[in-house]
Amino acid sequence: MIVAREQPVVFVIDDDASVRGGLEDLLRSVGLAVESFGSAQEFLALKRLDAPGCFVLDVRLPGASGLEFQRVLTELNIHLPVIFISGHGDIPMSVRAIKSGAIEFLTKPLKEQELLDAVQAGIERDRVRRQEAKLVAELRERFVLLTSREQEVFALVITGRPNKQIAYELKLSEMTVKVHRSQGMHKMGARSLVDLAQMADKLGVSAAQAQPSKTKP
Amino acid sequence: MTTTPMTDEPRSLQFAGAVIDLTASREREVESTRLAAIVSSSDDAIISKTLDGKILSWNAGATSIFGYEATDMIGQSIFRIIPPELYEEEKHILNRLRQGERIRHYETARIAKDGRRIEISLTVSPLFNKYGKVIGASKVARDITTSREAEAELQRVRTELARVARVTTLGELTAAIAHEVNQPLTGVISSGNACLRWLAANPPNLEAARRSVERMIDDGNRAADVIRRIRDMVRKSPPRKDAFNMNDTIMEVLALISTELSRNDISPRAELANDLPVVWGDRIQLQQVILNLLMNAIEAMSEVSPTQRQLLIASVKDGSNGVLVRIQDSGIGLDGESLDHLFEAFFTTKARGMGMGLAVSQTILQAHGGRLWATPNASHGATFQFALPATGRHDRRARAAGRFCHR
Repeated sequence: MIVAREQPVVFVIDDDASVRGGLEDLLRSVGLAVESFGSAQEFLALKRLDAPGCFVLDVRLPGASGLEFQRVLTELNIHLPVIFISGHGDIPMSVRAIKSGAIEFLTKPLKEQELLDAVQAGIERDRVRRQEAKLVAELRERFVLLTSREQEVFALVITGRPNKQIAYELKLSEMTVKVHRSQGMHKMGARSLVDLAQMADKLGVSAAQAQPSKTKP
Repeated sequence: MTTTPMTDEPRSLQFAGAVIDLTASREREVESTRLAAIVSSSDDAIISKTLDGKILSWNAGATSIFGYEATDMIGQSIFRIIPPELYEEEKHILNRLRQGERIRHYETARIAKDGRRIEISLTVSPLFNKYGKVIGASKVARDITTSREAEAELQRVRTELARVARVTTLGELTAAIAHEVNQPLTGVISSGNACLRWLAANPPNLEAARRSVERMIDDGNRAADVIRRIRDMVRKSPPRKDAFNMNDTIMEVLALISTELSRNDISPRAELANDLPVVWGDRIQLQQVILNLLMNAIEAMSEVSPTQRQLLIASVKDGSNGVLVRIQDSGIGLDGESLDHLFEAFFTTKARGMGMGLAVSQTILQAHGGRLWATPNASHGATFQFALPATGRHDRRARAAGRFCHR
């Protein structure tokens, strides 16, 4: 079950109750919502909230390590940014963590400002990612409303080809291309060719998508 | 049997004869051949000599151990293969032989033809003439250099293992303690920060601040529990109590680090008192203290010129029944600041030091009721001394004596 909520949530996963208690307290004192768990399994068993947020994750979790858990999250399509915390200042481990996309690698006991800054950065990164994802989802909804002809014309228009050439390639009249083109622009909500090209970029649409119908008799 | 016809007269043939029983003589001959075979095929050196040390026989074993051929040695003096510092010992052995004494499995050293020093185990028996007078000696020598070396190597490896084990355990223990204490500390610090924020809020959230403080107290107690558990653990393993001679321990440690000493061009001087009382304590732990102090001294002298490296280890009787050991080096010495922190854990003046050696040594001595201190020398270097008090309490001595009797 996914519950929509815009209030950011920080997920703290650490097997130590003192650490969890202290971090919950600190993060709540700056007005953040906190959910804490003793293990990765506990987190995975819970319903996920559809809200921006980030993880504060102990590197040495019972069972799977924090780094392995980070991989599991990617597989599960959970893209919340991760801030690693560790009792040992293990440099190779921190390098691996940062390379695999972690926001920060902090050593316990945590410096308040470092943690709060990292959490803010994590939440911000997630907010941007979510907005982006939301936009792409909307565009996709619009794109599927296009007829297959309109999608073909769309794919060729964004390459900058003039109508005449598109008409030639698709074996259509120039007039028909013009109609499909304005229909497509209207359905997608694009105000200009540049606007449309940016949408195509976000959707991953390219001229290649116009190819299959070209081979049609 | 030999017979000779006395006359040529055929009828009165007379024989003059001497009948000798040759059986015994032949048996003796066989026996001596057999013995000669044993002697010549033996891997041990079998040598006979006169009482003034002239070599009479020299077997193949002697050749293979000492390198000299029999032809080189027979008629020569046995002193040729004896190291000069052992001349007195050999004279003493010859004296004992004169009195008909036998010397069994005596371990000593000889010099081979190529100048190598060979460790041997010796059995020397007097040779008697038929009147029972001692006329010489036969000696059987076995080369034990290899087994001695193996023994020394084993001892070295054991010590190294003990050292590594000690350092590793210490390192692991430190990491474990650091982790165990770090967790509640993380809690305390986070809750403390939270508490300040609750108080700084407008209006202050006193209820939340109170909960933060409660959490800090719980976490603080938890950290204290960790420390208490470690203390209990340490207390559970009291040091062993052995009775031992401190001088022997000093010599053992010097032997252990002999390679280290020669590698650093240091010839240590040992001034050991003869009247030392028996020490009661954990021999291994005290050995580690001496080892640690000597290794520190070696390191301290690594930066001074080899000609100026002087290391003295001395033992003296301290008070009525105590022992004092002094280790004096001519190294880089100690400055005032180092002196203040010398025995604190994690304090080190070495680039690669952990700063645990002196702290642990201090703890060991305190556990023995003794003390360890350092003073800079007037000229160069530093002097470390430790004193062990008289601890030979009556009941303890009786108990230990009982334990030794059961062995």
